[in-house]
Amino acid sequence: MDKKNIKLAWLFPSTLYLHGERGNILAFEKIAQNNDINLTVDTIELNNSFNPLDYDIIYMPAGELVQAQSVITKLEPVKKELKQFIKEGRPLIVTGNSITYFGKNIKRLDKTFQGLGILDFESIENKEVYGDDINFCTNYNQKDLEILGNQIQMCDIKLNSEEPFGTLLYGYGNTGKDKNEGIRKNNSFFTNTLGPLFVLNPWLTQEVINIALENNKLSAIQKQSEYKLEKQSFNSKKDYIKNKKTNLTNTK
Amino acid sequence: MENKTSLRFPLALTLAKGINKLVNIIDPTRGTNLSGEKALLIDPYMVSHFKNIDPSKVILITGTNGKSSSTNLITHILRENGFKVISNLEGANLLSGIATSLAKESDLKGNTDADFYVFETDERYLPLIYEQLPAKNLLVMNLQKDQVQRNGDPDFIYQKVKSVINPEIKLFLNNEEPRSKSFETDNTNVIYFGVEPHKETFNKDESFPTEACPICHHKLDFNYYNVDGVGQFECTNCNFKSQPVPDYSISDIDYENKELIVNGVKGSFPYDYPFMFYNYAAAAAVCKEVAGLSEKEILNSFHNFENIGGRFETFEFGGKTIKYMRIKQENPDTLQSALNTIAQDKEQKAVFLGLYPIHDFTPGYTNSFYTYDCDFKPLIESNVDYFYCFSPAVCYDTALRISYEDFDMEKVEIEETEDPEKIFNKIIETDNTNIYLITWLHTFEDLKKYVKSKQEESNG
Repeated sequence: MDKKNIKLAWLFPSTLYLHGERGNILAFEKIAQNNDINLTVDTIELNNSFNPLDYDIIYMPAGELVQAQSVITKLEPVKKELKQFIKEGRPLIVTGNSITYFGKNIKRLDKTFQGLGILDFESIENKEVYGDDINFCTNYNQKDLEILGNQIQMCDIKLNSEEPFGTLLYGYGNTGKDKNEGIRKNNSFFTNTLGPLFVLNPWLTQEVINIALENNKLSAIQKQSEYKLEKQSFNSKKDYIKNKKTNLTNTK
Repeated sequence: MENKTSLRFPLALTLAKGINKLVNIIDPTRGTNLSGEKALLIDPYMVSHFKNIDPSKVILITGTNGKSSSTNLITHILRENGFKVISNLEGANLLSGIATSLAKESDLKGNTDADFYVFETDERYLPLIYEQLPAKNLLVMNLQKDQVQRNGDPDFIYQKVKSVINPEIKLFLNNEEPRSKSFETDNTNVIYFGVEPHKETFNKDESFPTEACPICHHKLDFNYYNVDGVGQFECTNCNFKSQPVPDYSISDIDYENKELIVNGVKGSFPYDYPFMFYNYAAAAAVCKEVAGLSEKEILNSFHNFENIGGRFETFEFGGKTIKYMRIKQENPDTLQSALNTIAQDKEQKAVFLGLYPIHDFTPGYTNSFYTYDCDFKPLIESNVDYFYCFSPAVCYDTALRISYEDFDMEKVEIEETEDPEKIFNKIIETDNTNIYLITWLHTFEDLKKYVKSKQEESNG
């Protein structure tokens, strides 16, 4: 029997702490535990040393734009390793405003500064915040998945040569003007969906873990979980979205 | 432009006074901003045109939590001590609410004669208000994540407040809330207030992130929390930290006898919910520094202070006593306080938890992420026998949050409803007599209406 060990790095949780993202770590731990996987979670704060290549999964929660330069400065020395991490097909998961740190530049209302430049996109800060539900479909690890969560958007994401992570069924996504949601690069994804994304969408959590297992030549999760409560939550909110008032027109 | 609008001031003021009079005839109990709203259309700079307002006697009060209670308390203390105060207690915390209050209290020429002007101000609108009312005193209760659909990052609000801070202003800052305290870097004229640890002070285990230092963005360590995100703190990287002893400190809080000490002077207090102690400390600081009142005079005013709402409210239905804990949604602080309070009761209990979609704006949305910032463990370990999760759309997410604790999910019932009859039927059905209800005010008001209608029916 495989000895299934995988390692997850939770990046800068006390700096990027806005939307209850601790729930996502609990979700990874729960699925790992239910499937006899030994998941080690390392909490990396800004003053800890960090080598991306020591990990199978890297999770970076949503942060504030004001923290961008501190986080970029911290990650700049390991940019090469982050690129390699993505290239090797390991899952780097970045949510909410933290996406902006990985692009070419961040155009704030009062100044523009450079991002890490790992991906080819730009971020443009909006004058107003946009908060809503978000619902999109994606194909991840060769599975068609439908994701539902929340989005609090401070910046529009202008994709240049990058591919979106998903196609919106409802929500603002990258710009509120088309159906593009997030960015996908190999098995890494950068999504506007924040908060307990991996609690609410365990089918995605499971596939992230599967990729980490497969990357380590370990067998994927075999047991078919019901995720009954999560599916009830999903269906209930899907109905809620269908019937609510909205000013968005991009997914009509 | 200002001259033109100042010519419009008499017309705006006349209109405002007329509307105020009409509202008073129709329903004198009703607070409204209508007069201010309409008058500002005529003179957008109306607030700046009222006369005899000494900026050193103006106190603007802002923050995520506690601004209404602090405004209410400071106004009460000043009035109890014989001062005339103009305040926006009944109106909105926007420019229109302030315009309405000033129009009510001024003469036909816009002359005012108050000793002090105490205004609650919405964080977002502080720069607009300050532009017309350049107060010399600013009280910042706290700046935490809240109403994310409107405010997004806390930094969005932080920058709004920061934009008005200048060396002319005396700042009253919460010593134990990092963002508020960090305004000290923009101004040395600072008075700090705080609360020493007490019976309801708590800690969270290491799996909970803390928050970012507002100066260097590294991790902050908290020695304890008096309220979620508020307690003695220290940055793990730079020198930013709480003062060891703030200028105004509430200590020796005795919940049983409802007594506390402010800077060495003992007094009694009327309300005991955790953030209220910060309101007491802030009020003591402002009333002593701005009005010259002594701690004794301040404390003596507490005895007949009445605030809107309390820590919890009890009511009877179907032979059961229901203890209602009020929360603000989108904000973990109030939910954490409610959980902590219930956790102190070790008797077997049923908890009715109604977390709702957020409907502050169009579109509404199904945010439940603030629940993951809250520590449910003390509640779970306090002998909960039954959870009932209710609401449209979010009830399953509420149950999901509970599923991440060590609790038998067979004892969790979920119902996608906001129908008071269904909710009260569950309250009657449960064998538990110790009932707690947690939900936001809007739902609670609907439930109370239902109780009242049932009582009226049974009384014939």
